[in-house]
Amino acid sequence: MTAIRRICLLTKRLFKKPGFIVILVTCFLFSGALCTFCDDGGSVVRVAVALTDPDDPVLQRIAKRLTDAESIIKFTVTSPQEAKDAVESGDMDEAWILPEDIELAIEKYFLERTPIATVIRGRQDVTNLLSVERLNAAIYPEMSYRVYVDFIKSNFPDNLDEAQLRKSYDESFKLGKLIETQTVDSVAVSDGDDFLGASTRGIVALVVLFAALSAQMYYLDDREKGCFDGFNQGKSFGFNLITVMGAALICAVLCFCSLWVFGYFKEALLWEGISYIVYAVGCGGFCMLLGAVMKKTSLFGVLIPFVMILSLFVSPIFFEISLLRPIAMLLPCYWYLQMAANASMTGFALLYLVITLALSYLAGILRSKHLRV
Amino acid sequence: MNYLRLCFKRCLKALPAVFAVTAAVVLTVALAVSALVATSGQDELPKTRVGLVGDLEGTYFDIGIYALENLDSSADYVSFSMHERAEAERMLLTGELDGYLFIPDGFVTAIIKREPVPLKYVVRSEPSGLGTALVAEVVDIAAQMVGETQNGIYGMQEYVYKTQKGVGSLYKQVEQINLKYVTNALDRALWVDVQTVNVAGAPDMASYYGYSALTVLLMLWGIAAFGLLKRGPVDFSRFAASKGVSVQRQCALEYFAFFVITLMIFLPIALGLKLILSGSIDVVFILLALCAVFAVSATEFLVYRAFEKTVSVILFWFTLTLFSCYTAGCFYPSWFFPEAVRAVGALSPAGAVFEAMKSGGAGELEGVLICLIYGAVSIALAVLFSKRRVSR
Repeated sequence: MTAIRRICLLTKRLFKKPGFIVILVTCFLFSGALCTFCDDGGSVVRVAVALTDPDDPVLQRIAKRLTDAESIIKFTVTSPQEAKDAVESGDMDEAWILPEDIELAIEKYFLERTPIATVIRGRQDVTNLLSVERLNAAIYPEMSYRVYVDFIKSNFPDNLDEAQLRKSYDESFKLGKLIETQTVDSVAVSDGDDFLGASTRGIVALVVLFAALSAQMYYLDDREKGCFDGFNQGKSFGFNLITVMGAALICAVLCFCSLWVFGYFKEALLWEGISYIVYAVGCGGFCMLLGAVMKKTSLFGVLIPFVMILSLFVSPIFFEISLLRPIAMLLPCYWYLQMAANASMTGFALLYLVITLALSYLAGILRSKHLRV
Repeated sequence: MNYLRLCFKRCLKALPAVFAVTAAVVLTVALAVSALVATSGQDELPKTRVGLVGDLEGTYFDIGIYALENLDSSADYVSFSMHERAEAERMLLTGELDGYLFIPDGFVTAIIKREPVPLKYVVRSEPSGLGTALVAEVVDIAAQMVGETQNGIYGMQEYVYKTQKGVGSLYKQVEQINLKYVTNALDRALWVDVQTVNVAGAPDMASYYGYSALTVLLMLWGIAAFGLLKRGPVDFSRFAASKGVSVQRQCALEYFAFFVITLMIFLPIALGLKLILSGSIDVVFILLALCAVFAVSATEFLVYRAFEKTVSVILFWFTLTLFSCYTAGCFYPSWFFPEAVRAVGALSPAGAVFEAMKSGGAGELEGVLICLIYGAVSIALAVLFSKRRVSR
């Protein structure tokens, strides 16, 4: 009973700080805003598709193929002049100019190797290579049909059955999807993965870590004031655990609820909830370990921005930097994101949690012995 | 004058600790940004290393892989190597491969017999992000093109069966049409004519990430510099007011000291960055950098005057930093985001600063106004908060 009372009292202290309430509200709104804003995905490249003859059915077919594709490239169909202007003003990254008679352009390509379409590019980076392949894929059905027709015409020139030619191509046997992407654990990787939504998870997770770091700072401040002087190492560890875990779990519950309310977690809610709890406890262990190593509150405060920056850039929130993986593995955010991506990493995440808690307890013992000496 | 001296003395006392944190943060951000530029900002792609695993017997694969490695435009950004499955999995986990293509037993025979046996592209189990989205996009494009090629090859067979022309030489015809398709696909770099135009005011990727790093640093300065920004006791403010230093004056002088220190740290960084990125420094850039420092430092000053507890300020500022830097395009480029996010990002503190840095880098004066508004409004609000605190 006493233990539960202590937990309630230590956690209640947090709610008496108006700043903590403000942070909780901010966390909720922040998570919600990220989910809402990034709901319609995002685009790596913005492309203006210019139809020189908007009434041409072939061009319309190509444009439809592009706009209907589940792609990380965003397409806007427009006129050639508007497309060029949009690239020059920086409103679009590329303009794809499709010629007036594309079938004639394809024919000319096969005869003289002259380009079929024109790409006007405003900037040069890695994503441009990908976008050109998307354009190739959009005009490829016309090219493929042309290769097929040319082949039949050159090999079976007598009594060409034009109607059968088109029918055989359109209604030929289809094997279905020939390439499937999956992870080493045989989990399918879906097309059109929402990469903006993926980073939302990591950013919101950082807020939980930050809440745990702040709670650890509150605890260290109280310890410096001598609030826990009369207690042995075990009890001090318990108080620290309650303070930090309380803040981390409250913040985690709030962030989880926010992500759920705003529609980020659509399935496997129980698993997401368990991951969040493991992550919050991991954050607690990590912060307690840092707190046990740091002698002064001011030193710990100095460390906070450094830890946050490291978590932001080194954890795979935006980009995976494999060179810096050993550093990332020291941070709780890395294990949470791994666990969320792959359930088989749960064991490692739990191991991380146990190691940080054990080390923080050991560091606490060493510290108290050192103080006694 | 005495109060200003006092403010500077207080700032200089806290400066060594603040400087140490800032140096650590600057180093971390510089390291991360250089890694980002190395992976996504360069003109030449780092090659994606793809392993080939499974049933690789037969001449089709030899010809196909030779063509991909030597004749296809994808050779610029993909390299292939053959492995046993266990070895490929080990290499995938150690990062020696980016993915491997698993070819099931009897794949070629199954295709000829029209049996659906899909190829599997296997990647590491990683949190989904931009990398996963790019892989999914490439696979989708490849699958579309392969599917359309199937139409042509099976369509030709269909035509032969239906019209009963050349059934005897069908096997040879299939080989020939395959070859036509392969040759056509290998030449696809010729399908489009690529032209690059200059976009007014658009920074290259290195400049973009350079200015975004500077914006992140300026925003994080609000946490690193809490020693400079934290308020003194309210009794001292009342005492100073009784000695003729009004609250407005106290605020102005405290802010001025903080602004000068901030400028001393960030102006050399900004100028150095501009020099590295473009080889020259102009007056417009210096003006924009001053405006950016003014806007951020005033907003940070306001937040420290609005909240009572340092921990609350730090928590709030960090959340704001994350949100505004993200929406302003400091982590992912802003053009990745939907219009609504870009609009919100542009109005956020980080957005205002980032825009000012980018336009300053391009020699334009855009972004000055929003920075000045941010700065002026923040200082006015900070005075209001301080007055309320003293009068309580």
